[in-house]
Amino acid sequence: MSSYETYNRIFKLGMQSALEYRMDLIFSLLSAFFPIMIQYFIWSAVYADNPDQAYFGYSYHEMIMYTIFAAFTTRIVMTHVEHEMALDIKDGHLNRYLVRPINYFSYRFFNLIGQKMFFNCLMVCAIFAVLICYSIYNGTPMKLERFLLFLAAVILAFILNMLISYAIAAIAFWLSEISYFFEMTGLFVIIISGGMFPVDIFGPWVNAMLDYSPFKLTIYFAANVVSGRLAREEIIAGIGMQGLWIISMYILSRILWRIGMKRYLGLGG
Amino acid sequence: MYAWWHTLKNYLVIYWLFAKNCFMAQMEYRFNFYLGIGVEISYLIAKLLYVVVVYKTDLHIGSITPDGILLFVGTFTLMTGIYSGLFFYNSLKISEYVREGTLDLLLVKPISLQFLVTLRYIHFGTPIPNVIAGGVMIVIGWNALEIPVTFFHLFAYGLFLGVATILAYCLMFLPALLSFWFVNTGGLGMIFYSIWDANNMPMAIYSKWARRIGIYVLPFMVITNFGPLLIMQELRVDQLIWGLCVPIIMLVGFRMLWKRAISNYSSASG
Repeated sequence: MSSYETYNRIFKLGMQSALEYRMDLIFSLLSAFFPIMIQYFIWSAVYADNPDQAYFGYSYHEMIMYTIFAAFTTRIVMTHVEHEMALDIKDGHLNRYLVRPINYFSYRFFNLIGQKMFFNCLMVCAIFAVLICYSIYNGTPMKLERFLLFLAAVILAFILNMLISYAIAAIAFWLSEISYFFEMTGLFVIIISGGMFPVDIFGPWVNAMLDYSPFKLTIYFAANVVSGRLAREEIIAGIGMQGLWIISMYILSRILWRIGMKRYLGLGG
Repeated sequence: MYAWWHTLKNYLVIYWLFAKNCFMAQMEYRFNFYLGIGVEISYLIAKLLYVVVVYKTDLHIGSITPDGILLFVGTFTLMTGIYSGLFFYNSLKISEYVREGTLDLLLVKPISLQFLVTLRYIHFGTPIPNVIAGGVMIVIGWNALEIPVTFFHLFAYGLFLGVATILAYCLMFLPALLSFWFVNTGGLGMIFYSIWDANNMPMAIYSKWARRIGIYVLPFMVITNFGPLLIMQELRVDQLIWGLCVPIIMLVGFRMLWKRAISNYSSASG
């Protein structure tokens, strides 16, 4: 069996498992809208008295657009794959992948793409629909180029986030019971990636620090690309930085897993 | 009457044993216990970001000042602590019992199945950050609003914390109960967590229809709004009556749904 056939099969398996509980999938889709509604009401109240004032550098419309796009982008890029990887390490299930002619990272990667394909496509459609509604509401033509650049940015953000999760999951080689730890890191990553509020609310000092991390290049960057806050040159530079961070995180995660594998005993239930 | 009191006493003793058993188990794995606290601290930081936004933007919601909002956020944080300590882990367990068929073993125990399934596990670590931070925010907000600390105010606020605890029980177990029909209800659970999080802000922030649904259909908004509104003397009489009746209505409704859910259990898993 060729590599293409192998990973294509893994991709399809991931897709099948995601569509197994359809009702649950529908509820998961619906749950993406609730945080948007909450934030919409909060920001509407904040701007109600001074509709023309900018808070944290955002006008009312920009803030609402950021809220919507960041919520959808968060759902697209968050993988939570570290939980499954840590279980494989803890329970010794990693053994079954080590003796097979497949690469563990590639297996997880293609399986994840399969699992998230349907959900992410719907999320991207929702973003597209919001863009169309916004352009009709404003009477301005929708820029297809911006949407295409967003697609590139969000795909790279997804890969970057997957690599961050892969690197974090390597901690499972040193600590056996770390599901709580991943819960913590997951939330922390969402906050500093701009998944809850724009990272601008943390002030210039924290923002300057975050410039040297990959986190701003996931949710915050992708949401600002599609909301139109960034110029074309800034988007191209950002996509370039995403590429560099993907290479860096890939190398870092490979090193961490190589060191971790030396400690791996293959025990467990 | 004596039989009723005797049964209540028995259940309180069993609940005390549950608590003791859980505490011993959690102390055995102390690292996990501390990590659980760490997770709650990170969620708390996320909640505090809303407070940062409130004060940085000097947000006023009608007559509610940022200090007033802090009272609401504090109540929400405190209730989140109570919910996470008493109910959250039990609600996660229900779908596991149904999926794996382990409910069979619990069905044969000589005590109320609802009591056993919904109150068996108590987590002592996770409520600590929320209860402390919530308490501090309530005290700061209460002081800043210059609400007198009288017996009536303390009793009224405490009463509505009790109402809120009953409502949290009835509402947050609903997705888990539906697992008797749909098996996997993680997505529905996420919707309910999102609605729960909507309480992070006073209900006045939401539209009229959202408020009506949040008070009379799925009374989430009663949980963290009625207590602060009462001591701020902004709770209407009809809302006060509803606030005192709704826990009884919800408990009866939950009991009926529970019975239907159990009759639907097929023990199909291997």
